[in-house]
Amino acid sequence: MHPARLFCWHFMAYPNLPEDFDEDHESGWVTVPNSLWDGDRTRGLYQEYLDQLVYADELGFDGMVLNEHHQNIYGLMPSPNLLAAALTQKTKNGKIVVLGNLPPMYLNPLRVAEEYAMLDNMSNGRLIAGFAVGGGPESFNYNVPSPHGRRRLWEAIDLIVKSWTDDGPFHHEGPCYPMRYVNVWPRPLQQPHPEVWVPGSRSIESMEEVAKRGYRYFLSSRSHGGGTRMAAKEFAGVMEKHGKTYTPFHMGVLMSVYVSETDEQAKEESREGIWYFLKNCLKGHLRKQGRSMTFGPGVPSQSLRSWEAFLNAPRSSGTMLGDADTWEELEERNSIIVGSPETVRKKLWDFIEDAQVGNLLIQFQFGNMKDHLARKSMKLFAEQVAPALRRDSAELFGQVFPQLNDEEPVEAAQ
Amino acid sequence: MSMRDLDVAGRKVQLFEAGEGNPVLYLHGVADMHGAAVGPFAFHEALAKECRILAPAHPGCVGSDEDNSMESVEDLTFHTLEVMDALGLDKVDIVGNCVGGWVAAQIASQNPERVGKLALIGAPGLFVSGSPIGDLFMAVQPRNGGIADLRSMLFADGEGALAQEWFPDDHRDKEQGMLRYQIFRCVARFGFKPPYFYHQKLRDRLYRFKGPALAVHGANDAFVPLDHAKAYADGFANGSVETVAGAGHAVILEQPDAVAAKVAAFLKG
Repeated sequence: MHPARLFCWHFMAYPNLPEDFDEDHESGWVTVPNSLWDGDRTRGLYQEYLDQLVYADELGFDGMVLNEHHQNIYGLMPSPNLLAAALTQKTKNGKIVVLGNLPPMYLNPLRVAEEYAMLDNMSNGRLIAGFAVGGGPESFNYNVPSPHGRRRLWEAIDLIVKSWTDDGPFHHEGPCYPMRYVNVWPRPLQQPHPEVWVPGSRSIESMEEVAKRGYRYFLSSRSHGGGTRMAAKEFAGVMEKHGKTYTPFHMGVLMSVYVSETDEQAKEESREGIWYFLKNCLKGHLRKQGRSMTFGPGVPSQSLRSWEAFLNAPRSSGTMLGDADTWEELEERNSIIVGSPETVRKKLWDFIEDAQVGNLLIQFQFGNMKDHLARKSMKLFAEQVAPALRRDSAELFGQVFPQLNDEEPVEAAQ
Repeated sequence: MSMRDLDVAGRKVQLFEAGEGNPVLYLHGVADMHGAAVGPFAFHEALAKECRILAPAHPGCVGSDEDNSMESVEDLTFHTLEVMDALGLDKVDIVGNCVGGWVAAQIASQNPERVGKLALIGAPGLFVSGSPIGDLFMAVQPRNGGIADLRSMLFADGEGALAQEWFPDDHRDKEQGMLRYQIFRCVARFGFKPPYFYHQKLRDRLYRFKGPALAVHGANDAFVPLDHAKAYADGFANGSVETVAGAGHAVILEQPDAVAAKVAAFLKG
């Protein structure tokens, strides 16, 4: 049986912004002044967030997801590896997914190879190793020219994986990171190496690089319409070109969920946190209002071919997730799913059935959402949504992807 | 007036040519032919009445091949020397606008024997304490859906018709959108990372160029402050400044005839 894998993703937003933040500031990223940090109110925040992830492990999620952002209020994780290290000691079963470190931002990718190998040992082989290029804001934060990002990323990933699989010391002669002594201690526990995940935003170039190495593709999008199904089909096609067969577990997506007893109650309880997240955390990232730093000529990481495809694509309304002002607009994007266990189950099932993606990375905590609400939603999800999704997806995937039946079952959560 | 492709060490470089007489190598910038339009502006047409303009598009701009290994202004300088080799230009007058001026100054300090006269227009490239270069990359990222910040960084009148015509808020016009993306992707390769749009050592190396050097600069340039033109003029052995009142960084668009007249007079003199 191969049920969909359900992970809990925490972004660790800064929750203590002033009420009038949106009026006074053009972005929650890069230029958001750190004088807004309220040390007294923020005391204990990391503990609260870590404990929510530990709770996810206790509730039987397949893993906990962390990621890296710098100088922003969207995610207080400039170093996700520090939090992952804490999780290795506080959790027992779930995978620890770091999605990911941003090698183009660092001087030396071997630091990532070393820290990930440490995490894999410290967690008894539970690490999923993610590598990302870094977004527009990160280019500004760390002064890394966007056009160099992908070249550096792939050289770094290949060097890191080789440092895990090949005996050292060896020379590395790449143009970005030439090294005389590659000889990583410790070696990772998982053999030949931890599962590698790489995010992409539907460019064929990224899909090619991921597919030919047999890694997992994570679709970087917060909205899931027909584009997600298309991306899965495109990635399956690219894999096939490289002589590999797609299964739902080769791809992952981010969904956001809030579950309560009824649809109305779910909206009532999550409203403050969700709109704090949409208007503040996404300002500068996925919102027209304010300064948009994620995508564009100022952070030109897309190839010329991809940019041309973007200009040729039919024009969408131009609005982004953070522009949503009503529950109805939010629902259209199929990004943040709010409702009773049955409503959430049905919407997620429709998504799984349509897109046939097997790794669901789910955000439960939004913006300034209170601890007890995030926990309540996680618990209801784990007890009243996850079992049916696992059962139905295992049946569906078994029928549509018969080759899965020949494979070892994906490690089931306890 | 014509466009043709050059083979430069196996890479395609698109070259615009116009005019007759003394050859002048023209190196473009951001608000410029090859960066904002395929063909020439009034400025280039006016200058082409006085000399023969040879204007290559930088790597990745218009029809020139992109060079993914380009990581610094030295790489673009070397590439431009190769373009000069391919054109058989042993020694040539160079006019450089914006980042093209920076490259021209790099060539003049490094290979002074290859340059006759040197005219820089709104050129970055130097560190001038207290006069930081504006963040072009942040300015081109939409704010509230528009790029007014870019227009006011490039033009003295950022909301005027000229600025709106060349840099409209709608970045999805295909030709403009592609050209703009191309020039920004090219310039990000050597201008984005620290040091930002300058070379640490260029200022101390300018003295090697002994020929006539002119820095033309919009008095209201909000991208490269006017002090940078003075620093260039002071740095060269034989440098001078011409300020254009009422103009910004896109001075060749804002006052094409005045700038062309100044540059032509300098090249003739």
